Amino acid sequence: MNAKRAILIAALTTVAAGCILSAQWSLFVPFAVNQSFVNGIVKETVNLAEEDETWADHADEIEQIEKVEIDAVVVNALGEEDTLDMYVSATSSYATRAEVKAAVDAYPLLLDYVAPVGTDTLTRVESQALLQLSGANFTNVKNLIKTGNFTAYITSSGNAVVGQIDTANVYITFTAGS
Amino acid sequence: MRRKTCLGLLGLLLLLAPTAQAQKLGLGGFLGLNVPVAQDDAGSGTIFGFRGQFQAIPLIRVEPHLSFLKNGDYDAPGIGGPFTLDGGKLTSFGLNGILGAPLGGPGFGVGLVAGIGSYKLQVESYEDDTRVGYSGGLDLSLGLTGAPVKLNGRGELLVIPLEDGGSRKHALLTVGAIYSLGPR
Repeated sequence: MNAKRAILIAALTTVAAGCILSAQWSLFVPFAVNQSFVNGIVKETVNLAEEDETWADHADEIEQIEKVEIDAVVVNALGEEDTLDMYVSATSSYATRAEVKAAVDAYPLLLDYVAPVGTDTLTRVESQALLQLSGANFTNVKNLIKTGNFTAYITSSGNAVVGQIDTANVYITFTAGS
Repeated sequence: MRRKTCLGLLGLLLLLAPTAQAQKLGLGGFLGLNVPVAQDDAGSGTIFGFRGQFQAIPLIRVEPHLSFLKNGDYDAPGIGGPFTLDGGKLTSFGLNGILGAPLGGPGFGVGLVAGIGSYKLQVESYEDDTRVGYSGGLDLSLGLTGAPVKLNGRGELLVIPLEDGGSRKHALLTVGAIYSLGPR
């Protein structure tokens, strides 16, 4: 057996082993606990390796992001219905709703959640109808989350200190080697 | 070395083939268990489908198939939860090759199965994802003298490589029957 063939067989074996020995893992990251809106946004930078042991254990073997979902408890003090959106971005410095909305690297994950006056819970199941899970946008979201570092922005149409996010969670299912 | 390997393989084939037969075509169906392997986002579910078989040469059958896999729903945490979420379903068509037991005829037979197919994964709220998958396993069959139907049980591992690496895997355990067409 010559060297080229040996290298080819070794490479194919490695690829096949990586393919066979992978698994789908699920995790969730709590963020934005008791945060008030400032300039129409609540934001939090997430480092998945610091937040979750499973992600940290497989950080070098992350193959792809499968699913992304969220839920939240929202306190709306606007006095009328408030429309909330959620974006993720590699940039953590956006400070206003207008900056987030205008940013080309801020990808919408959830749009048009209408929060009634008072306290409301957006469940994981309810959020599925509002998630932006198709096309190039979701590809961008998955590629960003795959890096393990991103900033999540929740924007309020109120554009002022009108309420807060009691809690919000991001749920991620990913494929990684094991 | 190569000759010894070929002779060994031939001996194995002869052991796997219980009888010669005349049937060339068969049609049948199957159902069974679909167990997603190492997938947090899918539970155990079901599989059913239809198979055709063609005896290409004495010890090799070619088997086109149409399969429907349903993953079980799974419990997921969440505010106000836990919630039961959709595990998804897979629709596939493909081609298997079976080495060993013949299509028809009486007796107990053992065959090695290897296949390739197109698998469309559909999960509620997510875009459909179609990928090529590969399967392999063992087929056990039982034919009764004079009966046109042959029963079979099959265990397979299905591996569906994903776009960026890694794979989704399913252990499949099915029972089925094949009706042999033509002379007996």
